[in-house]
Amino acid sequence: MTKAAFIENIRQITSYLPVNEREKYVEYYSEMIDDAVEDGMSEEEAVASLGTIEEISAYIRENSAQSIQSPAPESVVREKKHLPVWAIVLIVLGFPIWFSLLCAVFSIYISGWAVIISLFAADISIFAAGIVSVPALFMVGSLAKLLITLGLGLFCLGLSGLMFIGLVKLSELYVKFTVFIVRKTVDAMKEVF
Amino acid sequence: MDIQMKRGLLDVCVLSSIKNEDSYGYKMVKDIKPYISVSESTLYPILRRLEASEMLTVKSIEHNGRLRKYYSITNKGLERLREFKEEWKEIMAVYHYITREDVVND
Repeated sequence: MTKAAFIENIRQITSYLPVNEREKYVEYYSEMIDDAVEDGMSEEEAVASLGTIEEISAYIRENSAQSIQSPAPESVVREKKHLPVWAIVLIVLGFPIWFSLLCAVFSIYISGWAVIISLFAADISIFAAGIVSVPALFMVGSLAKLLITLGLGLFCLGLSGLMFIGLVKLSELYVKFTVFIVRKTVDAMKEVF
Repeated sequence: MDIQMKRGLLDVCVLSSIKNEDSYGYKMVKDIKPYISVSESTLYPILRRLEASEMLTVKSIEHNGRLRKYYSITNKGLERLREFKEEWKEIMAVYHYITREDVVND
């Protein structure tokens, strides 16, 4: 067998390997043949000295099986999951569906903030009612009315304070939720693209 | 020879073949063959393994209008050879124990 035919065989039996791995084998065996020829062998002899293609194929399979079992620390690179073609086609064709769903989810999210903001507004008005009750105290005539106004005013102030604490906590939770969702989405994107 | 033992010995033989000067694949096989059976195909994974564990480094150097890969031993590789000598002392002690004279009972 000539060197060229042998190298072609090497390429064929390593076709399941990544290109750089395959080329390393090609370079290695090609160098071995050149060196054997330089050492005085004929090209045929040099190729024959390497053993049969079947033997070499078995060795290469064994090597790649071992390197899968115990990869060298350098070679541990996280393989990115590539999207199959059908998935890309589905994503493109399904755009009207998933995009409107995405918009719906996003508007639900936004309405969550709207609820929080309106609750804050309600809190402020309750607080304002509490404040306004102070000057109102001087306008009422009877003691009974004064006590009722005072009571209601204090109630409003207390309620607005408690509500404020609760709303701040609620906003914090919602921000945390947002961060969590964004992070998950970015991670998922990174893995796919 | 036991496969595990042979594999360990081959690693050390390959390192030993480059301990004094850099060498290339074909020459390494030729140098090691008289002592332990090795072929081009069995040398390949050993070189890759030793390179991955930083016991040797590889560089391509032009030779007769083509590139030839030369392997050089690293300090880590030399350390491995020193370790092997120490380990071998222990193995020899075990060997002497195993092959001690039989006591003849009468």
